[in-house]
Amino acid sequence: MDRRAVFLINLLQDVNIVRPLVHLACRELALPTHLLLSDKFVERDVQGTWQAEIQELCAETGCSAQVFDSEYAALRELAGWRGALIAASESDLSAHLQTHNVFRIAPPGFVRITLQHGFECVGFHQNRDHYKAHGRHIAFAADVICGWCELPYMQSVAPSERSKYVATGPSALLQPATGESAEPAAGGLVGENLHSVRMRMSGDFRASFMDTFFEFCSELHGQGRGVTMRPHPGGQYVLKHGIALPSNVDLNNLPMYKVDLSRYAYGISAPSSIVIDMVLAGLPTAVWQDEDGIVDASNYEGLTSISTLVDWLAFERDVRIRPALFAHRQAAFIARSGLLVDRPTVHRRFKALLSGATA
Amino acid sequence: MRLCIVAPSEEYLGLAGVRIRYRRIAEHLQRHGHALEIEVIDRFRSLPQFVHDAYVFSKCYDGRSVLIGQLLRGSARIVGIDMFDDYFSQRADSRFVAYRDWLRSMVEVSDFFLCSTQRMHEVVHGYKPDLPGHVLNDPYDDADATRIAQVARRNLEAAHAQRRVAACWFGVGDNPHFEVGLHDLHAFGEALARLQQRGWDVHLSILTNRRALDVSGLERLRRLPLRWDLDEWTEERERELLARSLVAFIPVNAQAFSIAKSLNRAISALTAGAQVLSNGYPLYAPLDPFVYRDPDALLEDLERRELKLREASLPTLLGLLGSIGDPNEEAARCAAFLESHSQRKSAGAAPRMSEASACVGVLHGVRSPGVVHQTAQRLKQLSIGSPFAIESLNYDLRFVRGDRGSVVAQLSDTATTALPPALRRRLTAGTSSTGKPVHCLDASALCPRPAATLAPHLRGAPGRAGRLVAYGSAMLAVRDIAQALFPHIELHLSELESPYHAAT
Repeated sequence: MDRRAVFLINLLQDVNIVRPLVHLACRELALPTHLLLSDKFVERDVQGTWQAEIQELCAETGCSAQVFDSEYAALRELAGWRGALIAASESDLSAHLQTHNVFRIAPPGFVRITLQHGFECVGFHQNRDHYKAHGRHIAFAADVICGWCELPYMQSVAPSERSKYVATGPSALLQPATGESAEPAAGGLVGENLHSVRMRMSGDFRASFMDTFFEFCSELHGQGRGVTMRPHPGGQYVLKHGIALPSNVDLNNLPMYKVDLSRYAYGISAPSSIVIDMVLAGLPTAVWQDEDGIVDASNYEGLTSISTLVDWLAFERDVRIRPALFAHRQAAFIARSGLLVDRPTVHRRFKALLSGATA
Repeated sequence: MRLCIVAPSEEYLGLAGVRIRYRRIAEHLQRHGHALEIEVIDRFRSLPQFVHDAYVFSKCYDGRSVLIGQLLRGSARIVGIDMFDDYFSQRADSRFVAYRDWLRSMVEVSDFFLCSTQRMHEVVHGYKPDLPGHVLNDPYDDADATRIAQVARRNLEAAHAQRRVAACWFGVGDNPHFEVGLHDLHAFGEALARLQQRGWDVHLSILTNRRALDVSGLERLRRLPLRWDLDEWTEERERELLARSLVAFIPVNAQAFSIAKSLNRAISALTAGAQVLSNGYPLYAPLDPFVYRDPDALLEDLERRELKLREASLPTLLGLLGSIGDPNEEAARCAAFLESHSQRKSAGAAPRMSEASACVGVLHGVRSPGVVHQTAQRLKQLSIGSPFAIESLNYDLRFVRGDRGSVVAQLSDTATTALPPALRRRLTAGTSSTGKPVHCLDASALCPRPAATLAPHLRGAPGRAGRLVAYGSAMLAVRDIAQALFPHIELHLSELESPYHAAT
């Protein structure tokens, strides 16, 4: 029975998570590699953006791709093979049903691997709103679950799942660079994740965030400066709801691996994995929280926190006049968070995992 | 004799069961001077279309079969049912109330029944002990001794050449009500794994229906302790698979549904040249000399190259099959049974069958298909809407609220012709909720007590719990009023939703 690496892709943001590992499997390990796309993925990708990314990935690496519309269709793709079956979003939550079910029926010759797909992630490292929405006992059909930190830092791994846990670090650290042009971007980058359960579970904070953002843009406009907004790749709230943006706002909707974060002067976002991307890219970064502190930002404690317009403007000013402050603060945050950020370590662990699963 | 098998739908005609059970005996019946035809129930649009001598309803589990049976009952035709799926003996299971009510009604309008096994015979007899029944075994297709011997020998040699047992499992993998099929394969599959000893390898090929291949079915297969491959069932694939399999694995669980099954799968395997390994319930005991119950015994015989199914044992097999599945024998026995009942009926009461003389009412419950209503009206009988039935149909009789809590019966033109003259004079004109002109009659004045029982239930749809509480008494009240309106009416309940039950 021949070995292969198979990647299951269901949510749009899965592409960003699995891409570095597809490169690793194809280019370094020379594994026959196949991408299985759920029909829901195709349905969600209304603009076809991510399917184009998949085509590009296939062209870059030589892997193949196929859409499946049922567990039986997925089984037909897996039958007769063994190796590693990898999903970026898999759990017993209904949002992950497609990948979860394929894991349940996968031939026993496959080692099933679920990747942590965000800094805060159900079943791995949850925030308060994850607990409210999904509870404390998220289970996986995987044989191995790969997290971003060593296990003691992972507060939300259910007891039944702990023996499956392997600390690999975030796959994004292995992302092969594709980068935008090297020209410096004007101003900062503001991440939008208004679709998130966090922004609506304990109250509706979407208006609060956007009102402050608009005021901030207006102030910058007065100073002749601008800012770039980046919608969440899966949520796309600003685009889906046709929210008009001020004239000094650019939109960046490229996949994260095509964004050169170092071009930006600073980063602002509500609590979200993009905060970690910004921090790891060395950007002075601030985490937005509502004025009353209801939005749970506790997992980002130690980073600069901003709420009101005054806070946003003060942060923007500090970035210009005291940038070293942020480097120190953010290094301390990374150290405290337990995140595995040493690229060679992350590379070694993923390589060992994929080699072992396909041996 | 002209025999008509009445099928529930066009799709049904394409199922393997129809091919096995009816088409295989059709040509043999012809040889005995009889004809077998299969008609879909909806093709019958009027009573003159019933030109066959005998009608057998096959899986027509709704009010249409009861209605037609009732209409044919008084004719020279004989009416029966063919029973092969046991949804009827689980008396403590409320999911099957509608099935049981259907059979209770059906045995009352039937002259006989056919069934696939002795077990089904007992089940139907439990409903009406004096109803004559006949076990029509599922006939096999072809039992060519030379071919069986060649295939069995070839597969034995192939197994020894590779030390590999080619096993197969085939059939329907699921059931909407019971855990069967792939459940059984998973639950009993350990027996196949036991063949993997003394250097023998086992490979299982599975053929089943697409619907069974959902996540829970496939997850069960994943846990099988041996290697397998899988494909969707077709008749052709089954034939090919059996021809290259050393052994067909056919485990059986002990649920009532499963123990009433026919011997068909084992006979198909044996007549294709495959050995049979069956653990669990001893369903295939009548084929005992050819069925392995224990994988170790199969392995021993395999090592000795002396399997149960081999050239030397074929005369015994053919002798056995002669009494349980020979299509010619089955056709002859079935024809003799039907003829004897046909003659008995012809010699009895004078035929009475005309649309004008019959007065059959179909009372629609919570879930009564529109086709039942249509069939009743096409056959010029009365379609009666209960307070629980679909609102939008133009029933021949329904009930609405009148002034001061009274109950008004609304009747179609057809219904008024069946009314006694004295009642016809009391009709007034009205309009139904569907906008049709109707004739109205004060049911509260005619039948005060049933009308008083019925009145509270005409206030609109209560929830499921409310319907369950009200159902029995409201349906009886409708029956009483209908009988007061039409003194000769024969009333049947049409209800597919369990556990609604009314002793109408």
